[in-house]
Amino acid sequence: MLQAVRRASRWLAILGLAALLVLSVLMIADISGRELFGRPISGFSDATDLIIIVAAAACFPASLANRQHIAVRFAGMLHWRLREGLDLLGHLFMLLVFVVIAWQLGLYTLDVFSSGQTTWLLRVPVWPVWGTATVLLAVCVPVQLAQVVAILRRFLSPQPLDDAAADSSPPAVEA
Amino acid sequence: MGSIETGILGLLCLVIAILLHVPVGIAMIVVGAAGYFILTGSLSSMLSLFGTETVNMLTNRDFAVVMLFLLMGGFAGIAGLSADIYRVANAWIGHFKGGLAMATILGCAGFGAIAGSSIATAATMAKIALPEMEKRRYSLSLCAGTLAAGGTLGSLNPPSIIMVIYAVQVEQFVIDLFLAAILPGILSVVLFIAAIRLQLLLDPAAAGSEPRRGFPERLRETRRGLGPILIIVIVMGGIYSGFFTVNEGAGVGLVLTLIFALLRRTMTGATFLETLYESAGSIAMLYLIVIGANIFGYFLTLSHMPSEIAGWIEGQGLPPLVVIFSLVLMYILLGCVFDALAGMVLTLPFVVPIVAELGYDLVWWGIVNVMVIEIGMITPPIGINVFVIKGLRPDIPLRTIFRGIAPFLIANLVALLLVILFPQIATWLPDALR
Repeated sequence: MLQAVRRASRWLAILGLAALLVLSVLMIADISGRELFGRPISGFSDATDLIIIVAAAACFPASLANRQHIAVRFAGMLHWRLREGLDLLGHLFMLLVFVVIAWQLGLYTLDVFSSGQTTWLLRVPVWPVWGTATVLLAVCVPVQLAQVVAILRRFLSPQPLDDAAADSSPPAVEA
Repeated sequence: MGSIETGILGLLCLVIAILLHVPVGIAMIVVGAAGYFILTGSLSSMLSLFGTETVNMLTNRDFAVVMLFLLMGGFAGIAGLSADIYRVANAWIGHFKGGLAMATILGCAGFGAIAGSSIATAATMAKIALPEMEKRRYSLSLCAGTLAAGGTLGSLNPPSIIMVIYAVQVEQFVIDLFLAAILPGILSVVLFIAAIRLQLLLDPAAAGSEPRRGFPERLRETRRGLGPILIIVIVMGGIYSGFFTVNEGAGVGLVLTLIFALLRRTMTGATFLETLYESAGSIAMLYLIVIGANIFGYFLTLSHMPSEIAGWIEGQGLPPLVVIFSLVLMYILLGCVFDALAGMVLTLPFVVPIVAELGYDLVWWGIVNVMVIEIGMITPPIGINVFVIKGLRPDIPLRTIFRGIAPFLIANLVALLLVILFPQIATWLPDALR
């Protein structure tokens, strides 16, 4: 399950940041048009605002799938089961936070849908963008759930386990 | 329980949650939201904080520049721009005793002006400079110390991701911070080079020198290394001159580094996808920390704790410099337990009002903060740059790396002291160009 969610989160992140790359190319076209010909791309500012939202939201599942976050992990150095237990606690909180964020972002999307909110210049409805951002953050919930299950298994392991997050990072930081 | 007591209790809970392995960003969100609920008594307002703060950050254009700079740093590494800068520096100063170490410092400063991140700078430069220095029998402690310390220039030299985070949190112009960092960055480079020279006076066997290169060869190397220099000039020159905004500059830099990587055929489909994927993780991590800091900041502000502390300190009649040095000492000690960046973000809500109350420039304080974070990146036990070097070369003992860092740590402390005592080092340039 963890592998499947990792694959999905990987492709979401790649698509999100690829969109940002396309935006950067368009940015050069916009600057050139503005500075050389006095004609910037019409409504480009609106497009920038919308793409940034989706690109940033697309990064979250990948971050959770890779356990990329800053955590101080000194207490867990006392015993491996304590370390896994505390990791489990931290990841449960993380799951809870993403459930609430996805839920509240969903409510915000419904709000902008019902109010018919649009961008300033192009008058494009913004709800599809917020809908996409909500879906991307909702994807974080199963991704994080898979992490919680994986850590729970480690916590219940009958054998002592090495620190899965150690690698080359300092003992106090899981990043 | 009064609101101030709730604020103090919240701060205590935050520290406990972080020490219990709760990721820093998540701990700030949970404790901040719980405290907000206790103070307002409104569950719906507390829950909506999760949504509004996420929306605020996702729509924050200033913060979005972090995504562009992180990607730009990733592509610059693949394009081999770090090696270009290193070769140019080496051609000009490699003949001095310890010249390769000094070239590494200049290489770190140059690559930091593209990468914007300390870890990326240390990791990328280590792959290039470490084999070269080892080949010429430089001592391992000098090599590792130079790379770990040199890497910190990635955070201090603009564009710096930490500065973007600070600017967004404290509502200052990013460009002012980038301008303010130029002279302290140069000062740090000079002091690092002085540290190398002093180290070699004490231990002459720690490094050798290269044959002096002829002028035509130096020019040839400089011409070959024009790529990264061009990118730095276009991006930073464009931003400073007002030709384009910080976001546009970052976008231009991103496309230029990508073009370099493609033209040099150093980028494959797999490395391209991997860079996007790896950057995504770091981007979301930073977003989450700032969302957390904002929610926790709301709670602290509501508790009136920051203003009470600022008022209390003012009431003590302490000389402002004593307060500033106490704060810096607090950050250095905090850096021993916390990740330095996380430490900065979670303390900003109550430290910034104190600094502002004392009449100090918040742009200057941003530079001081970044310099303190630099120190945290190379001091035990967390010192992330040390672990970057250790990760690349597990055979080098941690003790050897820390021994090598010691002279650079002193240089860092001297630079910090000078910037605190003479704030003009940081404030002169933004003031002059404003």
